[in-house]
Amino acid sequence: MIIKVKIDEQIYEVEINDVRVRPIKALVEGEEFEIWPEGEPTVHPILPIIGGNKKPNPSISTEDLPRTAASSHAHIAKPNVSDFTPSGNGILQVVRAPIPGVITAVNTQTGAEVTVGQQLCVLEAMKMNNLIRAPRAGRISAVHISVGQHVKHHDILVEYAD
Amino acid sequence: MDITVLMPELLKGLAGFSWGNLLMILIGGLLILLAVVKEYEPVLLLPIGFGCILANIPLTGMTSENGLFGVLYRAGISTELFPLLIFVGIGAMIDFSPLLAQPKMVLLGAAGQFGIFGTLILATLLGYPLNEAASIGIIGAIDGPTAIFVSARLAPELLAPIAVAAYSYMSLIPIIQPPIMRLLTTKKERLIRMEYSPRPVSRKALVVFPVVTTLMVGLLVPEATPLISMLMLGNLLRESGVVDQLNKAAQNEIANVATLFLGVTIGSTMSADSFLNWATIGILVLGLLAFILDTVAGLLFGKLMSALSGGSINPLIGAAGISAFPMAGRLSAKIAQEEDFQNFILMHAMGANTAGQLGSVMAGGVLLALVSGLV
Repeated sequence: MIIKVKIDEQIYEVEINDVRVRPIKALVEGEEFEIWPEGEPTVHPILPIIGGNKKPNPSISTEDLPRTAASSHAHIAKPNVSDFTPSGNGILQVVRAPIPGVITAVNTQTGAEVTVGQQLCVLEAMKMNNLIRAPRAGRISAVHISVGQHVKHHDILVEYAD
Repeated sequence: MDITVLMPELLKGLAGFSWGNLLMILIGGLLILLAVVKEYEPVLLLPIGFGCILANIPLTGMTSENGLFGVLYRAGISTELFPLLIFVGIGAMIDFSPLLAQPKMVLLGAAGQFGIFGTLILATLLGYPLNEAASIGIIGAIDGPTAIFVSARLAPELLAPIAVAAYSYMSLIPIIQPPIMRLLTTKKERLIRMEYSPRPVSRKALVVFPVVTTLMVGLLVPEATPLISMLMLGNLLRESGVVDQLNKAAQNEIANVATLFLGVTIGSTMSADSFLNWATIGILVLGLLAFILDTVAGLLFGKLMSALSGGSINPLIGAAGISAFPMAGRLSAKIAQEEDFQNFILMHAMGANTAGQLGSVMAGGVLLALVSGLV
């Protein structure tokens, strides 16, 4: 769908593919933006602005949202967790599973300070031990994995505090 | 009784012992050493080494027509039974879903077979007759059972050195491939990230795949059918999900028992008079070349695909388009990670690797068809 947004007398065309997938992908003047709504219920206020002639569908709830790969671990898939810090300066907030596999070792813990490249856990896939390393330095605020756990592609493994 | 009459009788084993036997026993010992200390393909090199030692003890009768190895050779190698049984096991071990999710990887699996044909041409130019040249080239399949299957049919007299070359080079892949991979790709290419795209492969597709592949290959390359059908039978056992005990038996008991007898029988063909000659050295050198050519061709094709895709394909996965499964796939993934620890191309490399497994079997069949027609 294409929404016209007027900001300071200038009209922008925003193309949105599917508001139910996370992140919402919006195309503004050829540039793609990924949007993570803050807190899932606030998704719905997007719907009314879709157009005057269409009524927002009040029956859509979080349960109707397609189950993302991560959502089987309910505690992991908090939809308001963005990959980046809210400040918008592009600092990575979470580390996700690059490929599906089984966690065979967890080498960090909540509250730990990690440096760039430090091993966070071992993800076994195709009988190969893949070392998952810290993409940046920082303090770990949550570890969502334990040894023996099966993770799917893009599941959140650990979160940064800062 | 006169002791001088008895002595030769007591020492006849030693009397028949030659320097060549001693050298071959040392080679057998070396293979066992590599298996035990370095763990290079121990499942194969250990029985091959022991068989080699046995074959060079004079007068045991084990390699004679009705000796243990004579019987095993006729039953399992001449008939090609052992390689085929091993293929049932390999089929049960392979997960084709990375390939089915990315069918374009088939191209890399084809490129990785260039070494077979490149080496064949070179060996012909060097004066090897076509059947021997083809058997040497098949080392480039980087697949022990396929190499044994083809050379047992085309040039059985070269079987021992070909099997030894195929298996020992396979275990040397982590040493042979990385320098070529670094040489032929730029750092920029190795840094290309490939996002894992979880395109789900349905169970139906996984079950249908082995059946359809068998039919297609069978009709197109009948000579490859014994190998591909056994590979696919094993895979069907795995993917059907209803014969778990057969799947496990294929992966473990059947594959292991067949491998043990294959290894020890191949080893038993390594007698001094048949192994210690220039042909063996030629085979070892050309076999290594076949490995290198495979890797080079795979990488170059990977670079081509990378350029055509606008730089979204990491050419390192091209080196995985060979049969050595899953070693080659893991190696590509490892080299990419050395450059960028956040780059996980494992699934793509595995797609190319499983394609390479299929490609090598197809190439073996094509080679058999072509050469049997010409010789």
